[in-house]
Amino acid sequence: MRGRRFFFICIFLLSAALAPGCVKRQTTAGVVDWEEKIAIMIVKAEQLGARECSPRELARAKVMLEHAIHEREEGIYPPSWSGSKLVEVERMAHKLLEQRMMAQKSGSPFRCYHRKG
Amino acid sequence: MGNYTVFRSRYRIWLFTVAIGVGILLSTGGISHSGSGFWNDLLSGPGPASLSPQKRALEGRKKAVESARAAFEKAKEAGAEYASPYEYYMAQEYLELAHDELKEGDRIGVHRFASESEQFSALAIRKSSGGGK
Repeated sequence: MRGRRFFFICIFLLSAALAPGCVKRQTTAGVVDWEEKIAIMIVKAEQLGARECSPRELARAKVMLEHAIHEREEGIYPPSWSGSKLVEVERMAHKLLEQRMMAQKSGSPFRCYHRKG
Repeated sequence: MGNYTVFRSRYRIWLFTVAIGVGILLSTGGISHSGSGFWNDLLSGPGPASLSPQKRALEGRKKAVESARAAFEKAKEAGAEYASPYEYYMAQEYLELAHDELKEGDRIGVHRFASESEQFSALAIRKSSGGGK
């Protein structure tokens, strides 16, 4: 009886110790997927001529993403910091890609096109 | 005889404790008072050898950023902003990041981003001076 109780206590303690690790890993996996998604957007924009048309924005987006990845790997900042940084990079990448897609739709994919306003 | 043995062992313990204390004082003195202070003045002479490892590492990081900044200035002078804007802005962004990391005290980040900046500056200079792609 006593041995069984001890066994259950051990199981409970073990699961309590492992649970935060599993949650953290799941969170990190989500962030990594997000980073990959943004990286794909940046690469697509670059392939469509962002390097020639918006070099400053492209460079900023690339370096910001690399910074966010670097800080996530170091694990000093909380996930909320990484999240806010990634939201900003995603917005930039989305804008870059949108501009390039518009240029492509207009029939001249490598023509520099900037939305007015 | 018994009293003598007790006295000897206590004497050893005291000696050991004092030695550890002195060791700790010397090591912390080297870390926290690099450049000035009693222990630093007592133990070391002038020049880079007098710096603690932390201070030396900080100097190394500052040098890396300064080197990247110098390379970026050269790229600017070479007209890279117009000749090879992508490389120029990459160098600029990496340099700003390296500077931020220096302020934050990130050891790895400073060297990594400063090195990236320097490489992009070199590439921008090469392209600006007709080196091509």
